[in-house]
Amino acid sequence: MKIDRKKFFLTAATSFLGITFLKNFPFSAFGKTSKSGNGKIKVKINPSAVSRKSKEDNHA
Amino acid sequence: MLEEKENMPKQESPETKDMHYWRSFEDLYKNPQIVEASHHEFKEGVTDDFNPSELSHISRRKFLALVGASAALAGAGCADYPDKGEIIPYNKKPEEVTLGKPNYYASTSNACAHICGVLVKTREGRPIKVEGNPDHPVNKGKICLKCQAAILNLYDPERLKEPLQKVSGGVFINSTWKKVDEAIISSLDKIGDKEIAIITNRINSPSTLKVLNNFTKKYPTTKIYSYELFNDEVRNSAWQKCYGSGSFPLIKWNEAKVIVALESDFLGSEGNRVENSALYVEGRDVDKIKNFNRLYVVEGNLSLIGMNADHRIRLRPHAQFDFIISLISEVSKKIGKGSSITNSLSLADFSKKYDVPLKKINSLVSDLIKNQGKSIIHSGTTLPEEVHIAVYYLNDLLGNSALYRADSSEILLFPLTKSAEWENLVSKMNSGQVGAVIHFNSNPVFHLADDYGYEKAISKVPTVVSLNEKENESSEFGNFILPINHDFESWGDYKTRTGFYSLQQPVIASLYNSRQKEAILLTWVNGKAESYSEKLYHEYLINRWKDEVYPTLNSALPFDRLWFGALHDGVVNFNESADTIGSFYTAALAALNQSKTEISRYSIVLKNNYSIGDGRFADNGWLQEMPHPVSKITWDNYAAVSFNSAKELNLKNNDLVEIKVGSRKLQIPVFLQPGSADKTFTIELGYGRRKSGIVGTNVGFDASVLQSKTNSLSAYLFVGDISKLKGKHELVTAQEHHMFDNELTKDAALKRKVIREGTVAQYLNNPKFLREDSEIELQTVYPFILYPGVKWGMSIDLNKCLGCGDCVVACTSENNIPIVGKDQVAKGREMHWIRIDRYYSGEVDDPNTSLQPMLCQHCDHAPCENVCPVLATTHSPDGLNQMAYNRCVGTRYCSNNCPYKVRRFNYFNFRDHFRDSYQQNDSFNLIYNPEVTVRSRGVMEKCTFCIQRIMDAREEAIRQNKNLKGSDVKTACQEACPTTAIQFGDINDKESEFQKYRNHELGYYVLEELNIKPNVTYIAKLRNTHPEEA
Repeated sequence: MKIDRKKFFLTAATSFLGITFLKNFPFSAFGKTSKSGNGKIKVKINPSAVSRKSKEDNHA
Repeated sequence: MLEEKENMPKQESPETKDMHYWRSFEDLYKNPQIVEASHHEFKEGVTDDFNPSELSHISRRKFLALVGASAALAGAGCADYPDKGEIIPYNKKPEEVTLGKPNYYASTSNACAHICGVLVKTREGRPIKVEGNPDHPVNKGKICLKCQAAILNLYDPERLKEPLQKVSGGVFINSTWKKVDEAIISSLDKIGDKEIAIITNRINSPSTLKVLNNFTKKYPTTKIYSYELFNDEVRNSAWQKCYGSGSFPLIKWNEAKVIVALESDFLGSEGNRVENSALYVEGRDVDKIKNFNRLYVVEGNLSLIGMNADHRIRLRPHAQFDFIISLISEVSKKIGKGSSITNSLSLADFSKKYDVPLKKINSLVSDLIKNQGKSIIHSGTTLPEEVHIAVYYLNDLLGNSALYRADSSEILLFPLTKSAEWENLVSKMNSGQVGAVIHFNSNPVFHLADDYGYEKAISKVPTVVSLNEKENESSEFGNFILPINHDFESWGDYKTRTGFYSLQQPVIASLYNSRQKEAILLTWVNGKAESYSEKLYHEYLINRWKDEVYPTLNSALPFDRLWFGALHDGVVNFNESADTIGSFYTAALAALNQSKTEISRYSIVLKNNYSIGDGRFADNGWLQEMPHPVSKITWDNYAAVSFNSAKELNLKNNDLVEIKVGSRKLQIPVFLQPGSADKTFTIELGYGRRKSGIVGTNVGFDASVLQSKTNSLSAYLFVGDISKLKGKHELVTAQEHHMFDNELTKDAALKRKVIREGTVAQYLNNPKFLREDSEIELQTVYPFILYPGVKWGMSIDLNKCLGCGDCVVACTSENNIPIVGKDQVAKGREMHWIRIDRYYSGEVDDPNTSLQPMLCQHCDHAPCENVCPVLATTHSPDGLNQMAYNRCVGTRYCSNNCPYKVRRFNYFNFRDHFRDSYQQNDSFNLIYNPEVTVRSRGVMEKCTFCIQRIMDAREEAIRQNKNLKGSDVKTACQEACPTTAIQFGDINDKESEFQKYRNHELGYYVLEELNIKPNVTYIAKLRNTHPEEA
C-alpha cells in the first residue's frame, strides 16, 4: 500500500501534536487531593536548637 | 413464582425429617428447567468448538475510537495517583543529622496549663514523635495524650500560613507582615487614653510576662486579662481562707495509705495527672503488698479515678457538703477533738437521706481514724468553696497535713482575671472605652460565659487582633488574624513550680510564614515593622536569661555553657524554697454552718474532657477518636445519667434532652452511665466548637452555654431542670466492638477468666490463690518450637493500669495509624492497635470496673497464622507474630480466627476517606514515622511489638558488638505509660528484671484454655477492700 506525501505529513504532525498534548496536559490538576494550596512545604532545622543523639543522653 | 409456590409440596418439619437446604427460589420450588439443567454438568453450547469466524467484526473506525478512548481514560484515571515526589540525598548534610538516625530535642509543651518537659524525636529535620523528657523533675519522662497528640497540630494543613486582614464586606484576605504590622502599629499609636486589652490563657513563661510588661510600658493603657477554663481558683481561695496565704499544696500521693477523692478525678481530668498517677501507683505495687494504699472515691458520675477505686460511693455533687460535714462530726467525736459543726447530719441520717450504704461510710471513717497522718482527703475543682474548706479542716484534724509537699509548690506568675474584671472589660468595650483587643493565643468568645456579652461587645472595638495558629470563634470578630508558631517552632522558658525552669526550643524552623507571638508584640513595642527578625525573641530570651536569671542561679559555669547545656537538657534546676504552710484558721469554719444542699431538682455538673481539654484540641483527630476512658464514646460529648433517673424521665441512650439552668438552655443526647448518682447529669466541656477546622467544627455540643458569670456555687455545678425532646443523636462507642464475649460466649469475661482479680487480703492469705483452680495440663496439637535467642514478651500490671489511654495515642503516633472518623467507628472500623477494654461487674447502680489493655498477644501458636492463605502473617525467630503487608490480600480470615479481636483491616484508604482526604495533605506526609509502612486499602494490620524499635536496638547491639538484651527495647506504649504498667523484654533472659513480671504468681494469660501460648502476661488486679467490706 502506498501512502501519499500529504497524508504522511498530516499523520506525522497530528501524532506529534497529540503526544505533546498528552505529555504536557495537567491531568493531575483534576485529581489533586492536596488542600495546602501553598505548594511544597520546606523542612528546615532550626540552627540554634541543641539536639541529642539519644533519649538518655544528658549532661547530668 | 407464586403459582409454583402453590404447587409445591410443603417443607417437612425439621423434627420429622432432615432439613432441606436450598440456594435459590428456583431450587426451592423445583422449576422443571432447573431440575433438567441440574442433570448436565455444563450449560448447553458451552462445550461446542471455538469458531473464530463467529466473532463479531470490528470496524477500523471503531477500533481506533476504542484505542483513543482507552488512552484518554488511562491518562485521566492515573492522574489521581499520589505524587511520590523525588528522593534527593543531602548535598550538604547538616552536621547534627545522620541519615536514618533520629535526633532528639528537649523542649517544653504548652498543651495544657501543666507544662510538661518533652523530648521531640526528629528524622531528617521532621518532628515525628513526642515523648516525655526523663530529666524533667515533674513529668519524669512521661507525658499525657494531649502532649503526644500536639504534634498533629504542628502539621495541621489548616494552620494559618499568612497574615490575614479583614477588608470591606467582612472578608479576610491574605496580607503581608509589613502591611499588617504598619497598620496595627499605627492604630496602637493613635489609641490615646483608650484601653488596650490583651487576653491570654494562663501565663506560665516569665519571659512572655516580661514581653507583656514591655508592651504595657510602651502603651500604658494596656491591661492584661488571663483565664483558664478549668483552674484552681476556688480551691486556692478556700486555702487562703484556711491558711492565710499561698496556694493549695502538692500532695505526696505515694505516701498516702488511705486516699479519699471527693468529686476529684486527680488521676484523670484534674491536675497534673501524669505526676499524680506515677505517685499514686507507688502504692499499688504487688511486690510491696504491705504498702498498698486504699482508694475511696465519692462522686456523682463514674470517672477514671472511680473506675480504679477500692470503694466507690455514688453521691450527687450537691450532697458533698453534707457528706464532708457529717464526716467531720463523726471523726471529731471519735478522736475527741475538733469543733462541732451545728448543722451536721449524723452518718446514719446522711446515709438514709442520700441512700448511701452506711457500711461503706463506716469503713471510710475507721480507715481515716486508723491512718491519721497517712491519709488524705481531696476535693475536686467543680465543688464549691465550703466543701474545700471542710476538706482542709478534716485533713488538719487528722494530721494529714504531713502529706502536703514541702519540697515544691505551684507558681502562678500572673493572677487569673476575676469575674468582676471581665464584666468591667465588657462594659468598657460597650461604651467605646476600649481601643484595641489582642487575643494572645486565646479564644474568649468560646470560653467566656455567654452572659458576659463578650461576643457582642467585641464588635464595638475598632481594632481587634487575633494571634492564633488557626482561625477560631474569636478570630472571626477581628480585623487581623496573625499566624503564630506552634510550640515546636517556638522559643520559651516556663516556670510552673518552684526549683526549676523548663526551656522550650524550636525543633523545626517555622513551616509557614508564621511568627512567634512574643516576637509580634516586640515588633509593635519597637514601633517599626522592619524591626522584626527571626531572632528577635530568641535574642530577647537569651538576654533576659543572661541579665536576670543567670545571676540568680549561682552557677559556676560560664553563661554560654549553661545556656546550651540547659537547652540540651530542657531544664535548669536550682535551689528555691517552696511555700510554707502555716496553721489552720478556725475562723474559716464559719462558712460551714449553713447547708446549701438542694435535692429536689437535678444536679448539672460540667467537667473537663480527658482528651480535648477545654476545646483547644477539638481539631485534633487523634484525640477526637480516642475513646472516652469510661464510656468509650468517641467524637462526641453527652449528658451521663443514671439508669434510675433515665427511667424517671423515660430516656434511652441517644435521646435528646433539654437541660435548663435558669434561662440558659442546652440540647444534648443522653448516655446511660452505670455508676452515676441519681438526679445527676454530667457533661464534659470542650465540644461544640463552631470554628475549629474540618475536624473539630460542630463535633459534639457546647455545654459552656450553661455557665454564667453569676454562678453562686461554682462555675461548673448547677441545679436545673430536664425535659425530653423529640429526636435522637447517635453516640458512637468503641466498647462494643472487637468483643470476644458475644451471645455464644456470654459472660466470657467471667467464665473464661478474661478478667481475673482478687483482694489484697486474699493474696496475703494465699499468694497462689489465682493459680489454684487452673493447674490443668492443657493439650495441643502443635509441635513445640524452640526460640533459642531472644524471645519477646510483654507484661501488663492491671494494678497499675488506670485506663488513661496514653498508650493508645503513643501507638497511633509511632505506627502511623490513621484517623477513620465517627461514621467508621460506628461500624467498628477504628484502627487502634491497642485498646483499653472496660468491664463492669456487680450492680448496675454501683458496679465494679475492671480495665484491660488489649493488643496482639503474639501467640506462639497463633490461630491467625494457620488460616492465612497467602502466608502474609507468620512467626519470626524471636517470637513475633508478623505481618507482610505486601503479601496480604485482605481475606480477613486471620481477624476472624483471632480470639482476642486485635487485628484491624483497612476497609478504605482511610487517609483518603476521612474528611475529604484531609490526611492526604502535603503537610501530613511529614508526620509519618519512616520506619513504619503506611498501609493502604485492603490490608490487615495489628500490633508489631514496635518491631522498628527492636530492629533499631538490634542494629545498635551489632554496632557495639554486644548481645541484644530485652531491656534495650522499649515499645511506644510502654514508654508512654505514666504508671509503668507495661513492661517489655526477653522471655528467655532468666536474669532480667522482666522475669519478675513474666513469672509472677498473679500473672495469667487471657483465654488461657485455648493454649495458643500468648506472650502477653497480665498481672491480676487486687482490690484493697476494707476487711469489713471484703
